[in-house]
Amino acid sequence: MTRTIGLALSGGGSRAAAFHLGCLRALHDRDLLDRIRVVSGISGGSLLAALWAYGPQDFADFDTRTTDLLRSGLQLDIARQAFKPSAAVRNLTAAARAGARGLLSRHGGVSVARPANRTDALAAVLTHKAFGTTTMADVTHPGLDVVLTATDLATTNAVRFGSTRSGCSRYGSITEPIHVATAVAASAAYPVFLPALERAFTFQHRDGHSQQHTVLLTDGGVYDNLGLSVLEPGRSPHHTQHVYDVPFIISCDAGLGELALKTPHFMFGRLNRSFATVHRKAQDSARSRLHEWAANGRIDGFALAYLGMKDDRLPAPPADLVPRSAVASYPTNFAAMARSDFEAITIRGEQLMRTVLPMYLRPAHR
Amino acid sequence: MKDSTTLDLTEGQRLALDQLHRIVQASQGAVAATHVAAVADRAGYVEARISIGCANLPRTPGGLRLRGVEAVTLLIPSRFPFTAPSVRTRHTRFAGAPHVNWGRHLCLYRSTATEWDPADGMYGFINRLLDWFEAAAAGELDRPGEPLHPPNALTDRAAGLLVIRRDAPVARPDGPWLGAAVLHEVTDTRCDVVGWLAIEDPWPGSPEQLREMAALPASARVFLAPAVVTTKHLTFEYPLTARELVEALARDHITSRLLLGLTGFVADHNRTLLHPDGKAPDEDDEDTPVAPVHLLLGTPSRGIAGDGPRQTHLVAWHLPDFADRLGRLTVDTSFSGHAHLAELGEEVVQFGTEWLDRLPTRWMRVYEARPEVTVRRDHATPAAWLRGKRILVLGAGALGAPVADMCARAGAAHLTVADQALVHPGILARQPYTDADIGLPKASVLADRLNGIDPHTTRVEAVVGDITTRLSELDLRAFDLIWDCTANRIVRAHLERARRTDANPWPHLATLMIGHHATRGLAALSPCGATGGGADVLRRTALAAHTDATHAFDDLVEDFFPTQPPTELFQPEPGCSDATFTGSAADVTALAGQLVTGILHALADPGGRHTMATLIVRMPAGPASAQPAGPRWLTWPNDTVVTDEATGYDVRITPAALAEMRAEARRGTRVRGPLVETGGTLLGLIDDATGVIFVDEATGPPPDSLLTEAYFRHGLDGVSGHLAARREATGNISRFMGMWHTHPHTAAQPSATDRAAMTSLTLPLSDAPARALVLIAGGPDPVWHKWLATGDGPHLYAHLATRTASVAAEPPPPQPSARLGPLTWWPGGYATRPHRPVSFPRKARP
Repeated sequence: MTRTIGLALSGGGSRAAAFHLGCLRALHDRDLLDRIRVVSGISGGSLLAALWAYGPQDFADFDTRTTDLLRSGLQLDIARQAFKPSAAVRNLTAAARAGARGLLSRHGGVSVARPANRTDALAAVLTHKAFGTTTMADVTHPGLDVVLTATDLATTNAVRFGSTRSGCSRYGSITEPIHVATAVAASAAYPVFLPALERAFTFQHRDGHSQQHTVLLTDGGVYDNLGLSVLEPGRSPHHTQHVYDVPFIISCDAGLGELALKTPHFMFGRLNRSFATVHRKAQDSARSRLHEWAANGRIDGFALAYLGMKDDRLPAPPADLVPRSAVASYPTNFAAMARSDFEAITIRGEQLMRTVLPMYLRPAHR
Repeated sequence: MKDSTTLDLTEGQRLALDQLHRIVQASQGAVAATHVAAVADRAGYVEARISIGCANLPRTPGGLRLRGVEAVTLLIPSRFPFTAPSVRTRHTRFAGAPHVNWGRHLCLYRSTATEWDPADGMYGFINRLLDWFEAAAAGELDRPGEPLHPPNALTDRAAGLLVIRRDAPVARPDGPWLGAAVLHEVTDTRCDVVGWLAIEDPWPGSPEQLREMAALPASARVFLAPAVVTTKHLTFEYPLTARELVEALARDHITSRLLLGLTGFVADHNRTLLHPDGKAPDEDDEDTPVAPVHLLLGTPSRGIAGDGPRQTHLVAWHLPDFADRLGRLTVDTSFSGHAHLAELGEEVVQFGTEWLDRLPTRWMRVYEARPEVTVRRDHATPAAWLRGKRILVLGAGALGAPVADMCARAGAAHLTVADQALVHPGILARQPYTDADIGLPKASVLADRLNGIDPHTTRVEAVVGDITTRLSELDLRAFDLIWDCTANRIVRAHLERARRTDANPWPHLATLMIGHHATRGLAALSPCGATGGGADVLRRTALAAHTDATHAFDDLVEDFFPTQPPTELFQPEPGCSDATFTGSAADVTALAGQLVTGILHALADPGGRHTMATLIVRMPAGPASAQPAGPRWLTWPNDTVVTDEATGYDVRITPAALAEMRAEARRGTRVRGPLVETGGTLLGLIDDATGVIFVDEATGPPPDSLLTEAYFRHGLDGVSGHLAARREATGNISRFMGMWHTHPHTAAQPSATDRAAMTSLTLPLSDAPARALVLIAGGPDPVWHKWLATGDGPHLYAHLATRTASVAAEPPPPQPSARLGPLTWWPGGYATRPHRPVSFPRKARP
């Protein structure tokens, strides 16, 4: 079986993760998961991508574990971890040391100036509940590659954590092994809810020299919330470390489309809305790029399952389609999900993917 | 160059001399011009003597020995620069070197048509000349890998034309090859060499045997010509008198005695062949030979420098009546023609030798058609696939006639063209027929014309009549490819049925069509072994064009697969002619060529076996218009084919439909466990004419379906809406045509419940048709498991059920077997949990 499909899982917290789980169920039923060459994740999409790529090989086991994790949520644990007494002490001592010596190295090669914020807590929860000390290279499915994208606030560059290689275009490749939990937490640090994750890595530059740089990692969706840019056809190996050239792209987009009209009164509301606007714009342009690649013949084709798609635009919707309105109000955090919300979002994901696949799949990728 | 003023020069010659003057000035002594004069032996030419400094050219062992300054004469034609100049030496020191003709002419261009650029004029010419001297000094005139320059013979048009069709013999190292060439006299002035006979072989005793040997028809006039092939490459240029030639050949141990003897022997054989009774038609007319006689002379001069053995280069010497006289003489003397050549009587030799002295050598034009020395111009093209193949072309009209022509030119071994139509005056606008053909059957006229293209390679046969009735007379297995160029639905449907019911696999079938204004063309390919014929592939093309999400084929839909038939049809003679399309000879020939090339590409590619495919081409528009999209291919893997139990029809299930059923079955296993049945609706078409049931799409169970381990009841919710949506999307091509369900881990056979359901045939539609396909996917454990795991087909059962019970009848209630215990009922759709345990839920039917 040749792997010829690129799978992109968008950002959007647990809503995205649940939607993608539904999409993966449809891909499993269509027996396409073994055809996936590379999975690219952003934020909540990174969480789901990692749960699948580093999780059990058996789909049912993966489904059960993922369902449990999303239903119980990560947010409560994040709060608990962040405000544990030990964490508070560490924050104080770290601040004192940082004042004297700048950035410090902690054991394990992770540098922390202001350790143990709520995103560190997310990393800790992910380590504890999902990934342990699994590193990016330990993909469970042979032949599959993984790319999880975060944004470095310091340089505004994308930092990509990959199963074959991690790094960013500005500094080069990271030489240390990266924990999956760290990569997922960094990719998921949606600026409104979670602070940036600060880490120092040793980067090996293209010219060979190595240097340590500190990166301030935040949600990877700031520029490309669909995770499509690593799958762009014809990327030059001289400019990026991630070249896959997959002829068919499946994009799972947990965006909501047009924002509901509401006037943000509070600062938090305005901030959230402005980030949401940025994400939506980025998402719109990514979708149009996908169409452009297909129209120019740069890829054979693509299938796009879009959570926020208007129901009446589906050419032949299933009779029991979960309507957009049933999922539209679900927030993009990592809180525990009610069964009804979880089922509505996953089933909509499964339905949309099953409906669009036969429309776009070409014989070569069936 | 002071003489030039007194000469009568053309404008071109003045230009040449002016350019030469500038070159001399700029060359700083490397090139000097000394003398300009009219050429005595070539009218209209002006010669310019120039000298070229060669002192600084390095000497190499294999190189030509050049003097410090080499003098050459340029011959400038009156039509310069539209005729290339030539160059010769006034000495013969270079004679024998490659690319030196007649001892003095330097050959600078292989092909002036492509290599001589008039814009470069003398600058280009002198550059070439300098290159030639450089190569000569380096001994690289024959570079490895380049064609050798064979010896040249000045040909004489009146001496006739010889076309060499069969590979020539080569001499063994120990002596020349002696024998005869078998000639086929095509016209008064042209003969074809169609075979070779060595002197030591038995020669045919009658013209019939000779014709049979050369595979010629009974009407062909055949005779023999003496032929000699030397052991060595001849470095001399072919001489102008017979004496010189004979002396030159003597160096290769071909004595004049041998030559005369052979000539006489062959001429005598001709006499007995052509007049077995020993009487020439007119004994008194001693000057008229029974056959024109040519002496063929071969030298091992052809090949690529430094690469393998050389092939024979052939020239032919026309001997008007000399050989015939020689032949008669040998008969009259003691030499009977059967004795050894060396026994030639002295007087014969005497006579012949005297003749040789007086006889001029008249070299015939020789055109090569030998496979060993010619490369077909289409050899590296897709058309090469056609060579030697047996081809059937259905239709001899706007598409069929050019397609058949292309096949004949490509060297197909056998071509059958079938059409019932006669040539009408109106078709001459775009079909390759003539005024004289009007009223004659197209197929016979076309076959006659194509038979003339290469009668040695291609036989063309006409079938005049209705294709659907005449098809059964043809042995289709004998063909390699069938072109359906009829653009006729009836023919297409007939072929689809004949192909389906034939016990033997059909050859490749290509179905060609052009649009209403000959701006677009389609070629549907059903390779040997494909599940669908032309009608099937075109149906798929229509489906793909209608449903393409990018709308890339909207123009195609309108032109070829409109939902509503087009209102304005073109009738060339309103009221009394079939509707046809508008389009010119340029349009239809261009479309035919593109479609043929595309199909041949597909056939030549071994990776594409068994893949049904359609090529779409569009004609260009004007420079100011938006250009139509380029060529596009659509491809489909084979369907899964099941035979319908009730009718014997083919049930062709697309991979897409089967994939959807499999996805539902896998989903069922994932959500409902491995034993619960599932099912859904089938969309497609039942075609009674061709006997094919097309299954295009399958859907999953509607939400109000009931799914258990023993029974599947198809729900109603959303079915009508879905069918309407698909009808709309497919341009009404794909409609409701049946239902499918699974028998996980058990035989794909109808249960008692299934059989009862088939007679009442309750369908999830308000306007239910009277028949529908019932498809069951199942199979014992390993089969079922393998299908879910790898996609290797399940067992399938298909039955085209016809309602026999009354429509109003309630479906028989399911009879779950008691031993199964309490059943879990699952809803259809995307539900993830079963119904709460209740008794069998009933739903009111509309």
